Amino acid sequence: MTEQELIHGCQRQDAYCQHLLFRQYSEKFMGVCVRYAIDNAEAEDILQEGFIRIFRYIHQFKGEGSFEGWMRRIVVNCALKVIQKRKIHFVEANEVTLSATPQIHATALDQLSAQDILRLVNALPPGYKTVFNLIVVEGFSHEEVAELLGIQASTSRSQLVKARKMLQNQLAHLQKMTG
Amino acid sequence: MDNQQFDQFFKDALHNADAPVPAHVWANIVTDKAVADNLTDIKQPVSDKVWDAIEFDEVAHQKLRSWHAHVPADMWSRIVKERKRRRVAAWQVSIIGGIFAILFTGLVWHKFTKTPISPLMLSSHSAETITNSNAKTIQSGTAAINGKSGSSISKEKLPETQVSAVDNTTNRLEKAVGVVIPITTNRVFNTTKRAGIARVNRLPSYTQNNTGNTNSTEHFFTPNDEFSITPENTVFSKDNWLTPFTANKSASFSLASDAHLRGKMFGSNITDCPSVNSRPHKEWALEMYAGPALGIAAHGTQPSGNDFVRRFDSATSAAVTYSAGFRVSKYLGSGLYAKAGLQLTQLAQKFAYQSENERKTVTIITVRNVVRGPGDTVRVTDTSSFVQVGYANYKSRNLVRSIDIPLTLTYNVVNNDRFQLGVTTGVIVNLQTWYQGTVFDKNMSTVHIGEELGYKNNIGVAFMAGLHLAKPITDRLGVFAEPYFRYNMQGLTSPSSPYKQHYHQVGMQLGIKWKMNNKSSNF
Repeated sequence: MTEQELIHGCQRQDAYCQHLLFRQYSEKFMGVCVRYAIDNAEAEDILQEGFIRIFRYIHQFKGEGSFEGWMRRIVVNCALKVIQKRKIHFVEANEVTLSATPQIHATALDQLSAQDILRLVNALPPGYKTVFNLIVVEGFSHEEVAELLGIQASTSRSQLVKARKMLQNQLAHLQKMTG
Repeated sequence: MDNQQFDQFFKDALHNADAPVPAHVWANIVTDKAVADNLTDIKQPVSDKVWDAIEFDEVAHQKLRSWHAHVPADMWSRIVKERKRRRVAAWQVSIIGGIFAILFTGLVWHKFTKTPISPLMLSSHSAETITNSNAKTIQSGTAAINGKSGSSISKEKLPETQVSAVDNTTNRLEKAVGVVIPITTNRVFNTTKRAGIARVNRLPSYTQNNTGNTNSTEHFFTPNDEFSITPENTVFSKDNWLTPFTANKSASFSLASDAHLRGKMFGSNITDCPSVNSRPHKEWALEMYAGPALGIAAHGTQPSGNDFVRRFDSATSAAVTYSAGFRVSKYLGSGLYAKAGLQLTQLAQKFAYQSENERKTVTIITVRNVVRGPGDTVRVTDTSSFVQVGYANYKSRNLVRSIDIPLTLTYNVVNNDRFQLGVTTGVIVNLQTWYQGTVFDKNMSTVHIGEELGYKNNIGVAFMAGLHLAKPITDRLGVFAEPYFRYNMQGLTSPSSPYKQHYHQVGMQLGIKWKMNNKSSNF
């Protein structure tokens, strides 16, 4: 079944097509949810809500742009709603103080698996993690992130800088430990 | 100079006009250019941190963007269940919202469509009289309270002669609820009692003759009464609820038809003294009913094609079954009833089908006598069997049973003691549906009806409309008949089923109505 047929099937609320769509994308989107959630249970809730919204609003997809991107955006929005319910505090730009960032070898980065990186990202404070995910992984701009999270673009920048610095510190620490 | 010439003049004057340029403008341009030329190729060392950040972001993006995580096995069933729950919730919310909207509209309509006071002709009758020559104020036999004072009468709207008459000789009737009926001399105030009044309020009516003697009699004065003032010389009170009338006009009032007037005269007691057309708001009744029901198939487009439908249709036929239930009825006023209850509906379908490749084993026993000689006869029994392959005809009675909550409104167009005729409409919310019987599957094989064929346990909401005919038998008991049509919004089968089964329903509900509040006068 082509993607177009799958979309039309889902737009007709065909249960078979919906299940097919779920099987095709659920693991990928679970990967998205895990990055935003605090634990697996919350990630599952986000995924469930995401797919319910996808099936509900799929008639609004007009075939412009990537279908996966459209769905991913819905899932990310669901994740952000959960995050907003948690009332994460985003540190303002003027509160950020930068110190020297440790040097990390490029090879060390290549050796890291996705699981390792995910573990490091998940260890970030929720605000840093959210901004890092939105900007670095999803590819949103600071302005878009500011709009999505209801914060200032400068806050988003500072969150990213700090998130990156924390990650690099952790990586440097790992580098030292592994020799 | 016209407009065109004016424009041309300014155009010619301004088009080639020069303006002096300040000297520093050129200096600025030269400076900016020099700075720009010097900075274009300038190189500045870039911190390694920048590249690290870019590289790190790139790695994180690549590795996390396409990363897949494990999804629990039951996630799909959770999503399906949650979607179903939300659909049901959305329906429930919309139904409840709709009911509230209807009730609110009904109440608003009821509030703003009260019948204006209208005169009615009445008959008078003679009454036992008593002489009450001294009393200026005669109070009712129940309780006397402060009513409207005589000074509240709008004198300026009355003819001059009557104003003086009121001033001089007005008698006041005060009712416990504050009704003031000033009557001048030489007036006759009669009431006509109607039969079948359950409870009465007592008000005197009296006649005062020209000699100055007031003849008064006590009548049982009820909300169903009609009363009139004799023509030409009667003055009646006016305090914003009774239309004043002049001496040369006659007027009659019917408490039975004037809710406004009745409310003014009887106040809060009105619920205890119901009338024919305006029932008290306490009226609750229990209705129990049962009756025949017949399903009407609405196939529509079938996923399995028309051949399947033809064969399916030829194999099935509708059968009459029943629906039964009970509901509570609440009178809202102005002939409008809200009803809610619980009902069981059973639809039936005769399903006749042939089963192919039916095998039947036939055993043949042949008995013969072999005569081998005189007196030597042997009885020989041969047994043989064979299998017949053919088809068999079967008949099945398929049943669809459902438990529903009917939420309806009945509006009675005819609404009196002897007969009621109205229309009923509302929604029927399905709680649970279950099935019994045999149907074809996708391959035209017979299978038992079940969820695996896509039959739903809940068929959602249906709309119903019908007529309501009722006949009171006693004060509390009545019978009713309600022919109806039920339109099911959803079919019995889900979209994944090989075929679509969608039924509507016609039927008749025959039942009894038991009035729970005996204070009301009728149904």
